Amino acid sequence: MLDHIKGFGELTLKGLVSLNAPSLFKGVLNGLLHRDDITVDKVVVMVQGNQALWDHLSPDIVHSLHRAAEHVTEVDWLTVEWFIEAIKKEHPALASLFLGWRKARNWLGRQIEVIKKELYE
Amino acid sequence: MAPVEDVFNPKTKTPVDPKAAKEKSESEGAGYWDQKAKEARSKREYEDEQRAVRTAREREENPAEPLFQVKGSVNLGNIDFQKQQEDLKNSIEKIQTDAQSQIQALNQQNAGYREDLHKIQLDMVEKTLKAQIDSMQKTIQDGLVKPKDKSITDQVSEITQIAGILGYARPDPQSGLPVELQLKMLEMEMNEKASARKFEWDKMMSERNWQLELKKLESESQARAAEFQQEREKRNMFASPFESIGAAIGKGLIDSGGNISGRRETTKRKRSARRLQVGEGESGTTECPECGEPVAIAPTARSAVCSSCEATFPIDRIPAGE
Repeated sequence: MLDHIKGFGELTLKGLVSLNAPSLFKGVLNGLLHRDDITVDKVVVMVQGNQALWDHLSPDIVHSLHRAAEHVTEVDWLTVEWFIEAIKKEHPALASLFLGWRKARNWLGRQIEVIKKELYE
Repeated sequence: MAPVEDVFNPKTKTPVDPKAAKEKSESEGAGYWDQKAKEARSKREYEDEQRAVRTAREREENPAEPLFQVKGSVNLGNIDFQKQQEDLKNSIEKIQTDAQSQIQALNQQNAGYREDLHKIQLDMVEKTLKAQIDSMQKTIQDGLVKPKDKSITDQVSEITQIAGILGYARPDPQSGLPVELQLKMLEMEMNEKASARKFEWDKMMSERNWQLELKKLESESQARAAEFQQEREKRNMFASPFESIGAAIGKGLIDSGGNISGRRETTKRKRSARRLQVGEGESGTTECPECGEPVAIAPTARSAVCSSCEATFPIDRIPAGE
């Protein structure tokens, strides 16, 4: 842990963000879920209606994602499993929903792909 | 018949010795003449007394007629002092009774005057307060406070107004005044009214300008606030990713215990013997029977998975009718 912290001082901002992108996005994701009060019922509605998550993102979040994407070039780690793992501590009900409901899991996979496409294509 | 006495030749003759007389006069001259003077004075006083006795006798014998003489009689009648005392006593009692009744009447009148005075004072206080309240309300409604140092015209106007409220009539100034003075007073009154109108107009214009300035300031403030809000949103849009980087890194590292790959370690889920019973098509959250953490139940899911303890719970759907 200390070695990691010592090494961070020698990195540039871009390298720092790129190297720690999963941890960075994990904190941002949980913060957004808290801020917008995303609940199981809301996600159920979106899944059943097959609503696009990208369309529901506010302009400032979209802008932040674009800015973060400039520093993060590799996003293979951004998967459904990573998403569930990232939120299960702070949002266990949501994580449980994606774990136990295949339809929601598939919907989340589609939304992740859409987001990747919006950010990098 | 008695012989006639020769009065010119007295019987008694005193012989006089001229020499002795001369010597005697020289030694006793003053005494002699004093003796003579006494004799003459006694004789004169005797004659005066004799004359007075004669006059008194004549006055007694022939008294003088009085200048005015009143004749007739006066009948004082019967004087009853007891009756007079009784009458006097009755008169005094009557006077005392009248005085007492007058005092009572005056006391009652005085009490009435006192009550009237109290009423007038209360009325005056009430009217004064009402006038002050009206004045304050008018000032508040006008929204413009007059200067503290009032002009003499304003003071006279206020005093006249309060006096009018208290019931004191203003004397007619035009009675008995010369025409020039009346014209002058009318001119002054007209000037005063014109000044009052000008003051009202100025006040209205000032209020209008003040409202315009307020609206102008308000619109400028709103514009600035909107501009500031835009600036802040813009700054937040640029800053938010970087502001959250540090916290997110720290939190992510702590959560992953140094593992920043983000890859999820696959663990084998255990199937719980407990079952969840929910209605057909229902969804929501419940507590995990194993660990107590929230577990989501999807509307069409056949099982629920606890994200904390990885336990899987089969869901029994109960039809709505049962």
